[in-house]
Amino acid sequence: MYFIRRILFAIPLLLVISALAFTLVHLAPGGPFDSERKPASPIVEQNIKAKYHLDEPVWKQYGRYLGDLLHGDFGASLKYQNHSINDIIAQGLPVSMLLGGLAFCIAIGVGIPLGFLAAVRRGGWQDYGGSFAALLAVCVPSFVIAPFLILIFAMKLKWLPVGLWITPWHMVLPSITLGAYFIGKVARILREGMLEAAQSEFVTAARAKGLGETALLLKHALRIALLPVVSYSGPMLADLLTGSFVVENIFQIPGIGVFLVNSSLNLDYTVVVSLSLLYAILLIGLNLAVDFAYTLMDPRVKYE
Amino acid sequence: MSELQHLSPGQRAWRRFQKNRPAMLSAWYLVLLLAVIVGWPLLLKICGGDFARMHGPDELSDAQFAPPSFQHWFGTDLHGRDLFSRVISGAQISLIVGIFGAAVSLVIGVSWGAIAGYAGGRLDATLMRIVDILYSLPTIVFVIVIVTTFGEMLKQSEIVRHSAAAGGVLRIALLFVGLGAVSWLTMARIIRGQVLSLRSRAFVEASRTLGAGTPRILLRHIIPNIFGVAITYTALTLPAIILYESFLSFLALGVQPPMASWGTLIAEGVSQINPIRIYWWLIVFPGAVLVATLLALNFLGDGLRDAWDVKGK
Amino acid sequence: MPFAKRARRIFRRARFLLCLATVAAAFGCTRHEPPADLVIINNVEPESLDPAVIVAQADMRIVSGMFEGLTRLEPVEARAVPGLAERWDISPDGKIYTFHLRTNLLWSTGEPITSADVVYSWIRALDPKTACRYVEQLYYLKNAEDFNAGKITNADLVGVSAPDKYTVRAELKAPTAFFIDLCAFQTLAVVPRQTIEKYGDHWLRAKPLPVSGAFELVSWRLNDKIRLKKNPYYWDATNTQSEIIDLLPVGSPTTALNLYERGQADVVWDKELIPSSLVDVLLKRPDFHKFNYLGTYFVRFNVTKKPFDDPRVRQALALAVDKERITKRITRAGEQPAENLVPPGTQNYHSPPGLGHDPDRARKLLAEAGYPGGNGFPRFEYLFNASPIHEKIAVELQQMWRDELGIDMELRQMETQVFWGMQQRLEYQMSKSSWAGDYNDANTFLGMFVTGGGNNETGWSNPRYDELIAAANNELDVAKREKLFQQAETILVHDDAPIIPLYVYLGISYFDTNKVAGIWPNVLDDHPLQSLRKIKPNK
Repeated sequence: MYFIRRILFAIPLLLVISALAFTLVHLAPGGPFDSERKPASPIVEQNIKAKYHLDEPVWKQYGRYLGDLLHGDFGASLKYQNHSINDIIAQGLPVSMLLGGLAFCIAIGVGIPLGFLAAVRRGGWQDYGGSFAALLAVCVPSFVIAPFLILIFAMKLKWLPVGLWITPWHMVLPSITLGAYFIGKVARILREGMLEAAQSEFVTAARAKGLGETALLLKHALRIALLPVVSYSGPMLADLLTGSFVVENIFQIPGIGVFLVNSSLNLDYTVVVSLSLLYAILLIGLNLAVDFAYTLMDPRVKYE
Repeated sequence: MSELQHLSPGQRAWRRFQKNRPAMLSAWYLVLLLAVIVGWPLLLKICGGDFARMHGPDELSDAQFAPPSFQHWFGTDLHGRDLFSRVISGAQISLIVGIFGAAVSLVIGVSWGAIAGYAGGRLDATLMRIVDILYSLPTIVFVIVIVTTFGEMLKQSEIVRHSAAAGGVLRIALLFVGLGAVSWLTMARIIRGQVLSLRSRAFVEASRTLGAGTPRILLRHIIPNIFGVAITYTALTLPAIILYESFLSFLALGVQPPMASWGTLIAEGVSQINPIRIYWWLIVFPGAVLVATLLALNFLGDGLRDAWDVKGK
Repeated sequence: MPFAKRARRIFRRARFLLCLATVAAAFGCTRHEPPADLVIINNVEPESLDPAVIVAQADMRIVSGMFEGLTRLEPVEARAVPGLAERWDISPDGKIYTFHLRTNLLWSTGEPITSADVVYSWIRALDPKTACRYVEQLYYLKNAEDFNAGKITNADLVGVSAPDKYTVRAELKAPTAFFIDLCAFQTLAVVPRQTIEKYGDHWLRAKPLPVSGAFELVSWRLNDKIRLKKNPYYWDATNTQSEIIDLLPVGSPTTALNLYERGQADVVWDKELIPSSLVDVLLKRPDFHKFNYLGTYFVRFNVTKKPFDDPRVRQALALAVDKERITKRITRAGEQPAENLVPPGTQNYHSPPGLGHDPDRARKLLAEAGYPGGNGFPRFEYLFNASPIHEKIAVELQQMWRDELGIDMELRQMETQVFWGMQQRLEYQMSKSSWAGDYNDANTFLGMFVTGGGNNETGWSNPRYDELIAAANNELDVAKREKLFQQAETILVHDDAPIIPLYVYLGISYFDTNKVAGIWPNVLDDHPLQSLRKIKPNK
């Protein structure tokens, strides 16, 4: 019941978001058709605008946009005129989702053991080393990591390709670059959760029962400590799946992240709004999924 | 036990903070950095003449791409500008953007969250719905639009038109307003949660039954008790904003050249990474200073959080 | 709690499966395509592949492989040679061109190409609804400009017609010496009527897409690649050297260089795709080629606003620029400093002397204009679009004017899209500019600064200049025409100076001549895809 209500609630939320994005992007100076060559006559300029209804008031354009949306049509890109936005999403989203999915696996696969190790060996060198590595991963920007990875693994060692998106080998460096930040995040969240869990009544009770320390941490503390990681997964996945401008740009990957940034820079109105909407849908959907997972994982949580 | 009893929460936190070695080390590093940032331009001004001409952050020279030497500690760039000076002046910009950005997010976040949490009911619901909506917009779109749109709008206004050097300042102001405007959301949520739990606590209830008005309760009971949380999250927002500024600079949306920020310096350095010839100092020095500062700020934030005993969100 | 336990197990298993599925998807996504014969890096993603819409030179290099005009450019010197038209006659007054099409012309779908297709394509480009940005290339036809502006609506009045299936008759406003060159330009290329009428804006993604040129479009994935395949029905298909060509949209010089060095691309053919800090090392290698190119980097003044409404101020600023410093320190590929707008190497033209570099005279002129030693000179902004090279040049200019004239310039970097708009609306004081020749004639450069010209963008107007340009374009005698153009250019770069030319571009491309054949350096930097070939190693 609770979840159905939340889904229903998302609809007005999405409407407001699209309206907001629509207004914001129309406020920006200039227009999508400014280019190096000026149209020869004002008539031509007017014609371009009329073709995309840019001569109408903004609210009317918005209405038209929503109307098309109801038919499952995001409209046409103003910048890439031969492509519809549906095409752009259909081409780019799977690529970004795959890249994001791989990065997610890396973030979880490396971040959880790292955070666990740091917490178990609290105060030891593993803790300092692990925590420092995790913090470093959070602090070094991906546009610094990527060129170094390319320089070492692609150019010097010649193990992996420089860029493009063709075989699984092409996906290794980009997923690591994208995953690095989240490895650090996940490890830090997990370590903290573990330390907190170790002090909780739940674990103290288990300890009193005489369980071994390692088994205790693995079986009981980890389970509690994973909850904050799960709740962080929602926004993390939304970020990962909608692509990353930096990674896609540096590795020449045809994902959706590049479009999100470029369309805002190019004032490609319809693309900006559509991709913002897509992002919001993913975010809301994933948060919902995370909350659902929560109820499964932690019997203490109940939504009314 | 008895010693701690008569200390104020602030003093108690300070004691605990002092025992945290990484945090103290970070604090010293940051103090040192600030000293250099303030001291270096002063030194340039006092020495003047040739020294200033050789080391000024915007002074071009014929020494293109000079490697680090006794004269140029961090080497020089394409225009023959002293990289050390540029890293220092970049630090000014990055820290200003970071600090003011964090301050913007602090002010908006705390007031928004406090009002929502304290008022409760419909107002709370409305305010938090707005936060939800802003959360669901992709940050980058929001920032780009703010920086480009409002930049142009302000540019057209008369004041800016006629005052000298307004362009550069304006750009920086826009950057921290834009970045602050997207990073207050988490703050607002946390503060609201805190206020919500405080509001129903015994001492607040007691104060209310004794006839205290809303402003008094807010000032005497609520604000002091969320102070620690607010400071901690501000300290953690600061590095995030600095990092974001460097990302914007990577997109060439950061400060206007010839002004430098760490972001623009790193973007410049990164473009030098290639298999043929690397002017390594262009990436190593700005990168190292940025990462060291971000680490320090994070350690500091963690230290503050432990000291104030703020629970994770 | 049996339910919770089961749920947990399910959840854990779900996450495991999710990771497994992602990895599986990674392998599943491996595309099974035949490798291309040749991979070319071609600058950023084309906004369109429609000949009537495209603007960027990089886009034209792709499109010219797909759609051909009455003439085409040969690969060695980029001169116009017969394309779809086998030959043509020109009337004695130079105003009527009669083109005779080849009789074996076919679309890639097998249907014949006729003169009606040519007329349709030209009228379509002129149609105001098409909103063609390069439409001035057709204004030389009679009534074309009025038709494009909507003043006349009857397309039959425009000076192009098809007397029979294989003849196209073009009637010009004035004798136009470079009309044959124009016919090779992409705006005038022949496009498929039925497909366009059926699919509208998305006609280029129709399958099958009929093309008139040497290559068909196999796939077009944004920011990924464009794949072209040999068109067997092309009239000159026997001379098409490659079966499949991939073109990668790459905008970053570092990425382009890395891909090339790692062997993921065979050819990089855009001057913007060479990292400028490495130019000195790279140009020493045998696989890096530089050549003269018809393009000039210059600065525009907005002459409608103070202080640049005064020609003395503009001259002073121009005289104070040490152009060699820019080419030696910033561009570093051995570019020539420019005194003129029209670059050397332009057909039938030699530029007159420009202003030169003379800081003393510059200071004198500035003092005459009322700003001795730069005193009282208002602060001004230099507008440029975000790009490392523009920024670096701006920084050098700023220093030069500060040192030589004592005036202060602020830099204003703008996102490219916003930049074009501001330049067109004259919302700037001084701005970065560049121009590349559309065809090999002085008019492609000088013609743009006539009063009210679409690409003037300075607010500058000089009736004498307009007269000279008009007279030159009515002149059939090559020597007289050159004289007229020279007088005009003297006004532009010397007397009035609404612009400061900085340097002449060099064309730069890189490919291993032992592995790739069919690219020749030429001033238009035009390299037909048809002649490109990968050299197979000897067994």
